[in-house]
Amino acid sequence: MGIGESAANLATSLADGILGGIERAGHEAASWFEPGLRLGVTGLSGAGKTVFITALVASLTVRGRMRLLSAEAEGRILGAMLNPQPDREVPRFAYEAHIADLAKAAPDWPDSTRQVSQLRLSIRYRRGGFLGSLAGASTLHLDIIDYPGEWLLDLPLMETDYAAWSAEALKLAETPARRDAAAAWHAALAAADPSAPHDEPTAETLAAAWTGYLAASRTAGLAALAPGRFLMPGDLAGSPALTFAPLPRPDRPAPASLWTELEKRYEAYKRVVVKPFFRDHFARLDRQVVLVDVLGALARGPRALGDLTATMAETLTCFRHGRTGWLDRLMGGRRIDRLLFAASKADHLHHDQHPRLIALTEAMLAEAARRAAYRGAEIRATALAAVRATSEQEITREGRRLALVRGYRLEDRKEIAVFPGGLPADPARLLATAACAAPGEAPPDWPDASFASVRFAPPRWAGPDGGGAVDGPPHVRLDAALEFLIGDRLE
Amino acid sequence: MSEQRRDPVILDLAETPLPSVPGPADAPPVDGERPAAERVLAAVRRRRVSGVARLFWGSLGGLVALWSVLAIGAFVTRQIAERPWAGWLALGLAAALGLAMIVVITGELAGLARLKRIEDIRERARAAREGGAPEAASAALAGLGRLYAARPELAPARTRIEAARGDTPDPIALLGIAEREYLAALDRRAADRVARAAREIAAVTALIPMPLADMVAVLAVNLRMIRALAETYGGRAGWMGTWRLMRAVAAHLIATGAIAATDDLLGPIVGGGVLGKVSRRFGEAAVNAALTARVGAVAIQVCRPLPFDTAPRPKARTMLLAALKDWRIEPESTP
Repeated sequence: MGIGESAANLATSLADGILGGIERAGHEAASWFEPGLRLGVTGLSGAGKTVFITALVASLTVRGRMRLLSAEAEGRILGAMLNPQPDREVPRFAYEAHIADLAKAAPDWPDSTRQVSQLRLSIRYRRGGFLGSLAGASTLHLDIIDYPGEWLLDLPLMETDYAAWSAEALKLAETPARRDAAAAWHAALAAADPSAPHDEPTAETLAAAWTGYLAASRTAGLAALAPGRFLMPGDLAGSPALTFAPLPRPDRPAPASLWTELEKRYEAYKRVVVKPFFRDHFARLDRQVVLVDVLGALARGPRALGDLTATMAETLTCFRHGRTGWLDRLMGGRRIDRLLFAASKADHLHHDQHPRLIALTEAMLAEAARRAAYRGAEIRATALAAVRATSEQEITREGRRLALVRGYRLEDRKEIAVFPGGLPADPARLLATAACAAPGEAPPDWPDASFASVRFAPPRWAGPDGGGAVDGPPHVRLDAALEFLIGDRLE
Repeated sequence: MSEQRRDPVILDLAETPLPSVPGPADAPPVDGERPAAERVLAAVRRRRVSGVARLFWGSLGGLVALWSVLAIGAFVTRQIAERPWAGWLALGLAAALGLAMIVVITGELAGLARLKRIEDIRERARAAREGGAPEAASAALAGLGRLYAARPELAPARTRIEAARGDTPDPIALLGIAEREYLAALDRRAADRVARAAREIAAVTALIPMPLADMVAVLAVNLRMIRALAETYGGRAGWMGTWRLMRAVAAHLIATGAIAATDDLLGPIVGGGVLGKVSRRFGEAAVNAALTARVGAVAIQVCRPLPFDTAPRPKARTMLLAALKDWRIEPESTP
């Protein structure tokens, strides 16, 4: 290789570097003028986050059903498409796979999420009002994160140390609601001695027993299942940071004891797993939608509802709600200034009961709502179905009017019509039953009501690329929800 | 426990067949779709005059106003210098003119403000019903109360609403009650007014032989009807206000296809009825009357402080039939 050639190579690489730098700077500058909006889709496992995100993208790409989104009603949205996301290291949300699941001839719900993924949807729109006629089209980049709902349960751990968390978790494991699920765990705990010197097999046995207890609790429909990675380990399966369990604190923990070692692992879990997850995905949200499967919890009984209420209240304390001030903006900090509480799967209930469902959701999340309102965030509660799987029908049965929803059952694809039970006008009664003196001491069944929950198969609907491509997937109030969440940024 | 327990019911449709319903993809939205006309109305209201156009009209208007004030001022001062009696007379007339203009402008502004208030109430009520926002419903209710505070004929309705307030904790439900109490009588009066206008139009079209003249008459009658409807629902609108309403109504009609709608209205009236057979002239009269009824139905929506919810929406067809039923007797009874 001659000197001239290598000099030419050097020059080329230099030029590439400089040009690349300029291009990057250009992108940076562009991102200042075309701001992104980070939408946090929050919800526990099974609340419907993935379906919500998929339906959101599908509905904004093909906007035939976005009737209540003002920018669409006024004809100001020019188009929307997926773009490369800003965080290159995060996997991309598998939108195409999910929408293909929903749009195929025998549609299926997307699989449950196993890892974090991200998506950027860019919306081209014309501004409304005075500026609209002068300026050209603007772009809003909507950044959305999907993640396993179990991981959300870790957020409250950030503020808790090992001793406090252990005490709390052990107390919870002894409540009537969980006693059955915790039988094996209690046996393992009795066999272990916290003040004995650490040895790995004991730690592994304890961690496995704790995981088994969490899995059994989840099967029983309970929501408080920390640490979340135990049930959905992602890429950390088997690492020491995931090999711990709560232990009662010995009076004087010895330096090399089991308790001290597990405390270190708990701290490592917080440091390696929880904090990066929060910092990367939750600390910089602009808008938040909290999806809660209220109907599912109702059907599983007072214990599930009480657990869900407590867990959501605890989780929501971790978010920064409030109005973003000029100082926040200057420092690059963000606050969530709009918060939507949504009872998901509202299509399982005839719409004449929706006001009661919304009232129940509001009552469940009242504490978080009050706190966010105090800090200046705008809050609304709604009942929605991101993908509507049922249609409604009213019949008279035994002399009484019965408002049904009907659709196809997921298990056997048979058509059924369901009345899931009458919600009370006053949600306080349900919540009072659910939250008895101590958590988990609620009765296993509702004393004066009962509720059924059915899994419906997704509707058949002409997909975005199928025939009749004029409309997105059918939904219930997804357009009103989006109007609240992003409508003001499309003005 | 006051409520009756209602347990879940799950019906297997293979065993208990039910009448078929459209699937989720074709089913109507659960909250009911906002009627196309109302969506257009929202869009019309939001659409503002563009920046350049506003600059153009603003500066032109200012220039003309300045010019006329200066010209009148110059004229008056010159006359005072040359012919004092004419100058002082001119000054007096100019002062009277200024005073009259102030009164007119205040009236117009008040009319516009009233329309704005009605729009606000309607927007709040709609938000309350769509989003289930009780605070918006309370605001709409308060606005409605203020709007009708000075109307003595609505006093009984007011007391009934106050009575209902005690045992209706839900403001959205209370809004429904308020709609029935306040607006039921006004709706009837408005429908009568539309029917009267349709009748007038039919008579005018049938009697005025010149094509252009009857168009002017139709426009005048329609404008008067819109003004009267605005007055029925919320007090005087002023001419500017009426003009705005007229624009909203026109936008509505374009969006919803006035002509298409009249087509199906006309079938039974012109084709099957006596009118079309008596003469082509009467057929045209019926067409114009039908259009007016349609304009009236839209104008009622535009002027009404609440969207239709508990009360039935007056149908153009019903109002037209009411108008023509009274009127049809005349040409038939006179040979």
